[in-house]
Amino acid sequence: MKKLLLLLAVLMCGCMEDFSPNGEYKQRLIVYGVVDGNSTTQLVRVYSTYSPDLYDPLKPAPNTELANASVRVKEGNTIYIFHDTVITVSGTSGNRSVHAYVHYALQPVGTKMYSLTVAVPGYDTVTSSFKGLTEGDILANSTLLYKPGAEAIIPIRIATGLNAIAYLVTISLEFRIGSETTLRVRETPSSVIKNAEGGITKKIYPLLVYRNGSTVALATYETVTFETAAYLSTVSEIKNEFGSSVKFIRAIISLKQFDTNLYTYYSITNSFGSTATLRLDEPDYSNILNGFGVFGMTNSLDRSYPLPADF
Amino acid sequence: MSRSNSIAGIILLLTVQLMFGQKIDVRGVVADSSTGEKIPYATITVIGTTRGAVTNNNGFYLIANLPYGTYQIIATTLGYEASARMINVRGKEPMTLNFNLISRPVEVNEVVVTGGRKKELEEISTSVHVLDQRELQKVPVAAQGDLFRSIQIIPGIVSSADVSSKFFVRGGAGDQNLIYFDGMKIYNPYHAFGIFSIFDPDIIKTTEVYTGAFPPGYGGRLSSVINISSRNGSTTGIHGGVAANFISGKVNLEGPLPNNNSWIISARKSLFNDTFKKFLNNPPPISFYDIFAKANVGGSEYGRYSIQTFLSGDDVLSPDVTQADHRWRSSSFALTISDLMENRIYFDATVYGSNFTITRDAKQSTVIRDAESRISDGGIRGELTIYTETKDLYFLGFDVNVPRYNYTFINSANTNISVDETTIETWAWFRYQLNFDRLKADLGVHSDIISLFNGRRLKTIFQPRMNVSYLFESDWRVKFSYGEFSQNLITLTNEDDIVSLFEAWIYIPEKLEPETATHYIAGISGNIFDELSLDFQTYFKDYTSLVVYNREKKFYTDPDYINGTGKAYGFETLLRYKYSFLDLYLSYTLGWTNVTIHDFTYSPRYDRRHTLNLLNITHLTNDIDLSFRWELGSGYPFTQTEGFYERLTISDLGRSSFLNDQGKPYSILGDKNSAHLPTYHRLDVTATYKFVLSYLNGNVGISLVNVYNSKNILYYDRKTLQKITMLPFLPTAFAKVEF
Repeated sequence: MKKLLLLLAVLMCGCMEDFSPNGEYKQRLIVYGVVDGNSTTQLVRVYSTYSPDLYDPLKPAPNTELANASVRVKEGNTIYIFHDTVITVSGTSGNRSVHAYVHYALQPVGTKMYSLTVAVPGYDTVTSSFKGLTEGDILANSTLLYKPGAEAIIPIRIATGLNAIAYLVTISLEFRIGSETTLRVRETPSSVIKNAEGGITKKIYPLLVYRNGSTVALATYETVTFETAAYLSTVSEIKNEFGSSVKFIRAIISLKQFDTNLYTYYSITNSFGSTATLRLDEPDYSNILNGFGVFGMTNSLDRSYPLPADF
Repeated sequence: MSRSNSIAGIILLLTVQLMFGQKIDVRGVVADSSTGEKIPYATITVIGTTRGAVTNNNGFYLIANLPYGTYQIIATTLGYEASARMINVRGKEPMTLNFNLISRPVEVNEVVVTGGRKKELEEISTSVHVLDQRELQKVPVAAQGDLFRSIQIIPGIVSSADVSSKFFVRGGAGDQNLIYFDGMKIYNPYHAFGIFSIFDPDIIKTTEVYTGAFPPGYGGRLSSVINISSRNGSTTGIHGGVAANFISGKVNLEGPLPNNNSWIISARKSLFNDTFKKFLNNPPPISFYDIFAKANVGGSEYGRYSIQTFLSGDDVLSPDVTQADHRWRSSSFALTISDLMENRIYFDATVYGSNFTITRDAKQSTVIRDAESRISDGGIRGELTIYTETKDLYFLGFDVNVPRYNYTFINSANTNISVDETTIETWAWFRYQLNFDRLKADLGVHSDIISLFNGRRLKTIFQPRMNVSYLFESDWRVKFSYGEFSQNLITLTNEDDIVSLFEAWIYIPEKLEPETATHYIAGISGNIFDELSLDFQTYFKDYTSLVVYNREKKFYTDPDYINGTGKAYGFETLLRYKYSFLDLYLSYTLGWTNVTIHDFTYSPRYDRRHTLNLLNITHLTNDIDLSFRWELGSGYPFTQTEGFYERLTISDLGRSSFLNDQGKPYSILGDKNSAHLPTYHRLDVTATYKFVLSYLNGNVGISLVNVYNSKNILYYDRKTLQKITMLPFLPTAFAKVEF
């Protein structure tokens, strides 16, 4: 028995191990660049990963924005060199500063290839690229917008451009309050859920529509629909909120398109773009070679439909 | 067997008169003399012949066509005095010979977890262990006896945590274990998210544990079968008992009904909140109960009609409004009819139903969401046993089950999802047990009949099963097993969860193949020398189809789950050494498990390379038992954190600039499960004192859990950076009184 206990004691001592949950840390670059095809001003955010040793759940994450990055986008023989800047953005918790890299004369166009290179001393250089989106098209019956009510739905026919894997169609109302010089804009839901008394219990806004892997331009038009009741509920809501001082200017239908990189990243970080998934995990995805983040393109097409003075 | 009995047997053998054409059947039941409880797996031997039989689950045996003559027939089984009776076989009608065996304490030299040769079933099958109630209660476990913790000393069975009695068998996932309780299918056999099983050891008569290549009567799972039979209750008088330990208190009562019938009732309630807070700073807010009731209401002397119900419930209710509450509720019932319907045909049928519900109330949690999962089923299961003139047996059976599952939850898109489906499962099987001299075989086919109609693969329609053993040298036996298995119901879990509080059962979508596996097992067992016995097995489990997370899912059009494959292989050794007062039991498993999805192969979380269990039970005196158990196991696979970054979700894409996104800390993970947690090891010691006071008998004892306070890691929380360890050193006590 003594021998047995001795053997156990030896085995137990042999079992004591150090344990670290962390693997080998290697610092890498994080790059976010959402390039807007409707603008000449483009922004890229660059920051760094940080060691697991620096992670403290009780403290704010360390600021890892990098100010010494070389950010370039190449299209054909043209190289666009970005410059670092600080931008103030407003949020629910007040204004804050975001370090970014900016170029004021880059407006990507359809079908061309745009390649990003970000280099920072001490880091592996990261690269990424996307193919430019071509413009889509919108067809809508303006009568249903400025004289709604005859039909239960407002159909909007859209066509997407080349390399657009997903799109979002929205209707917004532009209006002015009294003598304000600034115009206000409010998006309308695509449908509403009402209770037995007719009150609105839930507004449902349009979601991004995935084109099931296709990046070719739509040969034929697709139809998206908005409930007239949802459109009118927004009109009523604005009138109730601002009374007779409100003056409606126009309805704006927007078609926003997204390339493969951007939409894939969005999909994975947002429940696979589905409200019906059984999955609860959030896998990783990035098209930044040697780093993390995403580099992709979006563009937008707006159609305006003036609203009558007595709307 | 006593010497006088042996001499009598030899003399009687000489007087046996063989008369050609004059043979009749001898049959009967074997029961406990004090309680009347029928005894399964008792061996019936006709002295001086090669004839004999083994009792079935109702204690029934039949020896067909025994020639006229006078015989001595002996009934033996573990824990009882052997009983010998004389019988003069003659006449035209089958003769009845019943045995009432006198209980005696299990001797130290009787195996605690049975070896391979003692029971007929174990002689044929490679991977079966049969445990009775006494054996279950001998294994030292944390704080209170528990079926699932006891079976984890069987080679090939591992648990992922001290705080979970959930088990994994030979590399199989947790939902691949089929659990029957008196014919009722149990979907969630755990209390308090897996800390204990819902089965009180005192109500269990026998437990068959198949760790692979299970016989044709079982289907619908890929890895193992746990078939639990409850006691019938006393037919001789009212008995009962009360017991308490730091975890629960319970009451058992049993007694007779007219016409040799009986009833039994048992109720158990947790005492967590009253006891553990004295030892732990922050005891878990757990409470549970279970109630079992059974009545035997008829049947001939060879069979029984019984009705039983089982209820259990668990609450994990947190006082913190930001922490979710969980509630589990199970209810099951069964009506069983077992009897001899023709002279040589024994009939077993069970009508069963069960309902299991788990609800999660997120309260004000911002991380967890509301969810509810319910599975209810009803069905009928029947089997005919056909006795032959030899020891050979035929079995024909069927099982028709109609499960309905409902799963409601709020997914990561904050949308309420509800899955509500009813399906039908229908199985039939044929089985033939061959007993030919040194050769024993159990051959058959299990058929998933519904697969015939929904176009699934032939492999799931006809599933051949085979167990063969050959006695080649005194008591050395070689064995080989093969079987094909399928599974249509799975649980939706994140397999990376260490302790999964919420598990929903669903039927595998028709677009996916059902899960399938093929088992190959070979083994050898025998005595190396008188004091040392060995059982060695090697296994290969080929998962030809598994349903796994689609790692490459990007869009909603991509399926959540896809089919993968897997392999599990290894070997197991069971050694028992007895010398003087030392009775040592050692089991060791070396195993590998991997899962492949497309070209990516990884070790699942429950892939444990080495598992060693050392168990010793010593009767220090007639009244005092001392036992210890030491477990050593490789650390489970673990994915390391290689860094963090602030990840933007761009959830407002199309409406707001990505500059407004603030990001959340996101772990950069290494290769999936490429690292391992530290080695697990723990020593438990239990001392029991047995006493008799007038009409009362009972025991008291202490149990020391994790004697040297090993800091075994349960999991590492990446978000809070906490290393959560398993049970610390924990002294507990128990007491039990019976009358």
